[in-house]
Amino acid sequence: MSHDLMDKEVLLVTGKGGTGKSTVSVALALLAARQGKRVLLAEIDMTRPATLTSFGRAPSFQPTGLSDRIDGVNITFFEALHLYLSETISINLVVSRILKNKIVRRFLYSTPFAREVVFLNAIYHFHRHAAEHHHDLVVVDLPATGHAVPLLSVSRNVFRLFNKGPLLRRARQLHAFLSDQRLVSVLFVSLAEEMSVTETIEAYLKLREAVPVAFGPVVVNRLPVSFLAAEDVPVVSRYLEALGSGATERVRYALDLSLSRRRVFERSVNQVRRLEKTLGGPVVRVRELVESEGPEVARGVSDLLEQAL
Amino acid sequence: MSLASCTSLEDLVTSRRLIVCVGTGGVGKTTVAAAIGLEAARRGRRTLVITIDPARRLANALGLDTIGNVETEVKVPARRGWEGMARLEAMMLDTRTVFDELIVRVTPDEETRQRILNNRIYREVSRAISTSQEYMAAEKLYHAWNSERHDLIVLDTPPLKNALDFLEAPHRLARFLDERIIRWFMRPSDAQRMFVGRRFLMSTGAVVYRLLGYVFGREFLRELNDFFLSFEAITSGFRQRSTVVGRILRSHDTSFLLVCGPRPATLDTTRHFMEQLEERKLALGGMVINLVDRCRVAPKSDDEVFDAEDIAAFERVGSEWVQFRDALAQDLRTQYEASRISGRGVETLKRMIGGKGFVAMVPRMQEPVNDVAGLLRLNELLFGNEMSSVERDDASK
Repeated sequence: MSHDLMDKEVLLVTGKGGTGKSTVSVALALLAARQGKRVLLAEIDMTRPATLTSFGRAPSFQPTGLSDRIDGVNITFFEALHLYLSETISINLVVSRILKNKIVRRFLYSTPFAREVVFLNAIYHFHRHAAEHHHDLVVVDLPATGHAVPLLSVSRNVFRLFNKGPLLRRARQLHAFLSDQRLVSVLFVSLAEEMSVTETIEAYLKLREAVPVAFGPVVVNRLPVSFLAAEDVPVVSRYLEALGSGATERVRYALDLSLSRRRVFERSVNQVRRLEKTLGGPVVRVRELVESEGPEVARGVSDLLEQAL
Repeated sequence: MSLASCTSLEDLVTSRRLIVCVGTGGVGKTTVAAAIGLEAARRGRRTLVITIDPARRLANALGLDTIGNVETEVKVPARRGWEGMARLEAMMLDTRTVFDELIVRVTPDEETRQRILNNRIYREVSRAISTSQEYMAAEKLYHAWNSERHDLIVLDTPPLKNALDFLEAPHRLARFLDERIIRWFMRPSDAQRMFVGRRFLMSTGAVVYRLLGYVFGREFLRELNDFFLSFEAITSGFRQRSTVVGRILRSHDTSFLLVCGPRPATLDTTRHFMEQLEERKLALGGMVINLVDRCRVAPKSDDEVFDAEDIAAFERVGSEWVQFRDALAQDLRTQYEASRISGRGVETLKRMIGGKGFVAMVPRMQEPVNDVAGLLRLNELLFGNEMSSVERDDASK
């Protein structure tokens, strides 16, 4: 399975806000780089690229070196639109004439499929031109699921609306690209909490219905850690009861803490099971990394991903 | 901002007419919004909590199966100290329906109405929840505010990383329906001219229009044209709303509440939210730092978790404790480490807000808030029980 995922050429990563999808994207890039691949790490229209935290560098629309084997790119709307227009109309003068028109720019930004087609097209572009930059893998840190699902399903919406024309032709290409199960994989990042799991399931099913895309494993991030074995729970409870007020504060707190951390852990494991059962696909668990901060987190997650995959 | 700035969350809850909760995803914004609404109602203020959260988080937290697009009363079981509770209502936005309702309300006649509702572009626009939910929040806010049925409205915003998009929403919608865009799209005569090839008469608009036809297809443009034509009658309504919502958000009865967590990875985003509020001259009331990891006791030292007294206590019960001793020690160390990272995050957040608003802290709860009981626990942590005053003392050190 690890083979499958790392054999892909495009990994699209999404998740609800706050699940750590950017960290997981960086971690995947680090992991691939460690396996000797050259990676392009793409973010979509970020005013504050997440790669800034991990690499101390904020890339532009041009692939920029972030580390030895990782380049970064920030797919900003204006540049992505420029790209789309130049690919459709080969005359540069004409393209810049369209782009100069503020009304058009604004209008296209607010028009739902125009924006999504333009972004998706840029991802497609970076994959097609990967060889020129010697990239073996493109990792895309997609927007949060609320925006990513409409982004990836845009082709279906275009199909529904039009039966001819250039937009339809482009949408077909993009659809074919996304549906190429050998090349492209979508990864959801979720927390092991009830709400997060419910939201992940909903988004996952919605996307699956819209595009025949290949799904990678769901990454369950920040899985709570408990050191207490299940069979020790009754003994610890008994100690807590027996000691009552006779215990020191530290002992009472430690007993109570271990029990509650165990409860949280079990609840999380149940949520992971629910995720596995409902989606019928593999789940990768990444435990909570309490001890690391800043750029360390992505590195730690990438170690854990390597073990898990 | 003409009112004195808030000194505490209680102050905010009792004095404002609108509280807008903003912040990154995953920090419990919706449940905090619900707990605040609950507190206001407990203090006798008629309160409405509005959320756009599609995950039914609010419905869950309030113990409801579903909350529709209309105000739904939340029943709180009778408790001591809650006798004077005013009516608490909640509303969850289903964007599609709100959009349709909006069209029905602002269209002058049945024909225009049907034309818009049946336009394919419109149908897609209203379906694309990601882009229209923000408009809808503004729309519901507009109505709730004008109905004057509530003393306080608590608005939970979507957790957009491109922060505060929603504040711009009415403005953006107005911009999307910009007169110039519409006028520009509705120049069939220009378009006609260019198709018969009388280029010398073409305006820039027509040239660009034609080029866009190449790029996106004439069919697409025709649909858009239709869409704008049908919208023409109602754009002034949108523009007027946009102005009013802007005024509501900047009213001196309105405060923004930044809901955040102490995790290092989220601090940058929180800073970004603060900057955005400042830039837009929106009044920040204060900050709720949620999900703070705490550890009530420290390990004895770097090498040993338990001291002799602790060991003696364990021994009093028996010798089995050696089998879980390491687990206990590791759990305590992990918790302690988490609390230290949390503490550093809290320090950073406090420096960030400086004197610009109050700080309230909520420790991470063991049980998720899935029902009214959970909400009451959160409410207790936020307002007034022993634990939360301890937390707040810590905060002021």
